[in-house]
Amino acid sequence: MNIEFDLNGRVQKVVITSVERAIDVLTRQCGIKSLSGTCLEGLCGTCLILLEGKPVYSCLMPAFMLRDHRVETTEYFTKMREYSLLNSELTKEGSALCSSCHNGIMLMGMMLIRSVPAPTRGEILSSLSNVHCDSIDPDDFADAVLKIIQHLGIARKMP
Amino acid sequence: MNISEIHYPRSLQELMLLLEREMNVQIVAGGTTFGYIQTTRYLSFEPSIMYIGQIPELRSIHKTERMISFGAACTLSELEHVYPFEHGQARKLLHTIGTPAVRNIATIGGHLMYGKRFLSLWALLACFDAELEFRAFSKTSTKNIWYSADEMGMPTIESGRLLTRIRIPLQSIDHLFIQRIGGAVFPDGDGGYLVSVATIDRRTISNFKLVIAGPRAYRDYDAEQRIIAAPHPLPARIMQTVMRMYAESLRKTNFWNVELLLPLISQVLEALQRSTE
Ligand SMILES: Cc1cc2nc3c(=O)[nH]c(=O)nc-3n(C[C@H](O)[C@H](O)[C@H](O)COP(=O)(O)OP(=O)(O)OC[C@H]3O[C@@H](n4cnc5c(N)ncnc54)[C@H](O)[C@@H]3O)c2cc1C
Ligand code: FES
Repeated sequence: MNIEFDLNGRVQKVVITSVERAIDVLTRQCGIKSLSGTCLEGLCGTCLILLEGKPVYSCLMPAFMLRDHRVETTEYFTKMREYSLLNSELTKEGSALCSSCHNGIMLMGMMLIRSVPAPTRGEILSSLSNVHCDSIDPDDFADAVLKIIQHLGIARKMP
Repeated sequence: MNISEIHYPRSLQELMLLLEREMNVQIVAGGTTFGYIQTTRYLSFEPSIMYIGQIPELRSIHKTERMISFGAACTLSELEHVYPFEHGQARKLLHTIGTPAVRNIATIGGHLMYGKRFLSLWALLACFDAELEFRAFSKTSTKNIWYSADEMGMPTIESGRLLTRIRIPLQSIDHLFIQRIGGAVFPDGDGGYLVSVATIDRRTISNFKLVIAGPRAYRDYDAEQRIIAAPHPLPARIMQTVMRMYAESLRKTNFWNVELLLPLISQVLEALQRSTE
């Protein structure tokens, strides 16, 4: 059947059947490259997307559930200044992101940086539980996110 | 690979009409159990899928002075800040379920209608006397959550019944004890939860419940009745009688590990003694 949803700010039309998982439609039909789908069990977080602004595992979601929703993947954020700031902050902190976790970690980071009101340190740390990554130090991640939020806050206040 | 027909009812009325018309229906709320349990790349469902995640009546939360009621399609994340999950320990229990990314789509209805066993929140909701509202054709029925367990304590979920709302009477929580027991809870395993709730009113225990739920559900009404209306703190002889009653009824089930559970029940009673109004 034909369904429509908002993908990264654009109307996306796809043809789906009941058997497909959201991750497969996003990668095969919509050209999304950031998702890898390592476990298909909601454990690794390499398939994270934002559904109505909230993180969900696209491997657990049947594709038909995408209909009429707003979906964002890491691709939506890559051209934003906050994205490069976060990327370089994380590299500076010594947390070279492994390629499989890169999508999930950056997506969580961007969601947090853009959330209103600004997240607490606890909320930042808890968002990391969505991604099973041994290579990132949670405190480095929280420091990087909070630093960018602060930086942007100052930048926003300047005339 | 079976392709099913997908329906997106936008109101409860439309859903009820579809349920009357369609045969071999699969209700899908958050869909997480299907995605998790089916290890194949492609998913399979009954021939006719009803996706209920976009029905406003099933997503609303109402609170009155006496009770809270939430729609079956509310996600576990949406319930995080409402009674009884606003209580620290209850919220902690909610947070043991997957990760935020699971709880953002997994619904309370899907959690309670899982059917293979009792999942993590069942014992807590049973302690709070939750009532489940079901719809089948044009009939609405409301049953205490215990209705989903048979005399042996096994889950009894009738297929084709739609769970629409969960209602919980509000009560003051003076004692809440939650203890994980055994191994895994989901998708199966011998794990579960022992939960106990009490209200103390003018130095009298006005409400007391103790529920264990996992592969099966257990509760001793007589032991609870022995505690309700007793003075707080409980006199030693009532404590002893109650412990004897629990030992006996647990043994009778021929299922639960009495040696493991009795010390926990004793801890529950000790915690109850320390509780304040
Ligand atoms: C990675 C992961 C970890 C998990 N960890 C835990 C855990 O630690 N503890 C725990 O208890 N659970 C755990 N779960 C299970 C989780 O609680 C359930 O998957 C979830 O609550 C089911 O909700 P859903 O909306 O996705 O249900 P669905 O998958 O959509 O449906 C589940 C079942 O309920 C039926 N159903 C759904 N809604 C209704 C309704 N309104 N009326 C009638 N039938 C209905 C469906 O037909 C289906 O049979 C975990 C799940 C995942 C994916
Ligand atoms: S593929 Fe691992 S969580 Fe989705």
